[in-house]
Amino acid sequence: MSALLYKAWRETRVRFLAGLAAVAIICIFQIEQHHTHDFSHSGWAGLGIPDDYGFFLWQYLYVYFLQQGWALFAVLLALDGLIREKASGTVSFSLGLPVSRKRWMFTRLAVVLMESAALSLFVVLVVIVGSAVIHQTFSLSQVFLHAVLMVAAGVIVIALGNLCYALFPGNYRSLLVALALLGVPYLWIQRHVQRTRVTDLPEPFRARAALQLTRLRVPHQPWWAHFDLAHAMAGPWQLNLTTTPWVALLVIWTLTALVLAVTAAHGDRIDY
Amino acid sequence: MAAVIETVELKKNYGKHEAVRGLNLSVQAGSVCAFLGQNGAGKTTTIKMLLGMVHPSSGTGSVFGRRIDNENDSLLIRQKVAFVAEDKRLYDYMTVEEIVRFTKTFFPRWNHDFERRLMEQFDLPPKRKIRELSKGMRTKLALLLGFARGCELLILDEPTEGLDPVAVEDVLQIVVSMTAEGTTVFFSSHQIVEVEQIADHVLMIDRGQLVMDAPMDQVKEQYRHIQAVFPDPVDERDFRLPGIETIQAKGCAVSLVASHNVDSILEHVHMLRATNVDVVPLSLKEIFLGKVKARS
Amino acid sequence: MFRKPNPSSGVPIYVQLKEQIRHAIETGALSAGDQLPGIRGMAETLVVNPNTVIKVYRELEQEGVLEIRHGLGAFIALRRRRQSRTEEFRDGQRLAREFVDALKEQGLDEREIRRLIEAELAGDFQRR
Repeated sequence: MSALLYKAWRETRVRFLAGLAAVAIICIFQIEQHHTHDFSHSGWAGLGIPDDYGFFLWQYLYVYFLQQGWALFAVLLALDGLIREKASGTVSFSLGLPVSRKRWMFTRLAVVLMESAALSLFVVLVVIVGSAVIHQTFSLSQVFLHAVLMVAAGVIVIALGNLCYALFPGNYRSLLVALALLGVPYLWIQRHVQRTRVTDLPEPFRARAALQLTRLRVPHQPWWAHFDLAHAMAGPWQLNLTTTPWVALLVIWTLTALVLAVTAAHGDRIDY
Repeated sequence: MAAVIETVELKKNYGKHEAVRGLNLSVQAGSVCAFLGQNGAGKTTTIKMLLGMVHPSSGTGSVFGRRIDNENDSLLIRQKVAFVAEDKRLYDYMTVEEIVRFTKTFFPRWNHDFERRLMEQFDLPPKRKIRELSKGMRTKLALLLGFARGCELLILDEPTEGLDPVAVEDVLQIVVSMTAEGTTVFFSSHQIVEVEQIADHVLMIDRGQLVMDAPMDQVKEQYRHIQAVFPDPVDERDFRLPGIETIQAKGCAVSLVASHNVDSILEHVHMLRATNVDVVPLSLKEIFLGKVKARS
Repeated sequence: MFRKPNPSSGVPIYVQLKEQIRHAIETGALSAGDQLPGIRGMAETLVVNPNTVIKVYRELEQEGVLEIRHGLGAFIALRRRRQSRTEEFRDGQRLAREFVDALKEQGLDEREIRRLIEAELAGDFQRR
């Protein structure tokens, strides 16, 4: 078992390290932005939301840039499999071993999941260090919980990336398909939906924001807002047992299981 | 004697192309069975079906009594089979000793002594990365990873491809010593001379069909090349006899390849009042070339 | 001591090996009582199928050339048992054919050949 884990690690190592660098850069950049820019005149200030560093972290990392960066690397890590070995010629050796195709796939995905989680937790570390450097305090538990939520909801991204590679093998081709499949709906939804939901804000900001939106005559959320994965991954600003989007997570996990089942069935059926 | 590998009407179609058509083969325990055929004749497809890498279109097969088209059975098959594929590429980011350590974990009956001896004999540098190995060394490493598994069945696809003559002889000697311990060997090869040297059973496949399935000794003892000269010109139609595989008639001379029934054929030839008859044995290469050319 | 047999020659490998062993005995390279290598050792040295070696040893044992002692191995027979009758007869047939062909080439016809042979046998009998 550990031999398979080791092999998956060796094969994703470089991407993982690149991912660590990327998330670190994103975090450091955002933290630096907070340090050097004045956000007191931002739209949020109009709602009375204080220039809160914790809120800033949530907004700019988990709602925006880090989430996208993390998702990109999660997909990159998932772009692999026995199909890749077909091109490199080692598939005959691998499939000649007494290891089922499902076991190959699931041990590899387990490693990808662990690496994605590690990327997310690494963010927490960077935030701790970075915030200390700029002398800001924040809720460690919130950053940590958001890191966990991002991965918990992000598993669907890994599963879909893996499926794309299985169906459209080849680095560039599968990446393009994955980006198209995930990126296009994402961008489209983001354009038409409120990025940060009113309902995610705690009181008293929620009431004020709701009032503001009514005054601006912003329409209600459309039905397909439910497919906003980014929203599920970001979660509300203050995460706790009740505010965690359990329903969304359940749906995501069910879909993930479905995608994995389809990928496994496809993998079992093909001829090498 | 038990059949270690058995197939019944095994078929594989890729779209309209029939890669393997109704193959019925049987490999006995302890034998060294050679699988000959041109490129694209269906050898590798058959081997891949036996190992579960390709799903048969129809027909059944079994290895050690386990079905090849059943996922769980296929796993059990691969625990007892040492497979060395035609493509000898290995994980090139690993070093020699890393891949040995990797492979060993899947085979509880791994033969550590044999592994050590082979590493020495093949002169493989343990700490070198596989991507830095020459093709010959990669082949030797791939063979080592197969031989040391402690398996009762070796399935080898072109085992000596790319090896120099000394290495070839070494590999054949290793296979022979494993046979002496009871290992069954099923191998495909283009090196017909090597096949003649160590195989005791010959299977020939041409365009997806089995065209020969016989013990080596029988093939060597029964196939004959008969050249006869007659007083008058002869025609191919004068030689419609069972056992004749190919006929070439030119003027007063005829050249026949017979796979059996040589005595009756010679009688017939004498009956036609041949003035000169030469009966010569055939090498396996000549037999093989004759077989596939006759069908094309 | 033994040469690797030629796999592509028309002569089957086991026949070549039998001939080599017989030749070794005739030339004195192997004497009565000498032990031959084990099946595995022989197969590995000559790089041939062990079943072939088994066949060679078994047939030579039946022909009285070798003695197989259980658990010990194959030894050159201490007393060369006489060839079986069929072998002697077959050898005789071959010699007779060659002899008759040779005499025919000399110009003798069948009756003359027969008289020659009978005379020889009779004379042989007389000499004894």
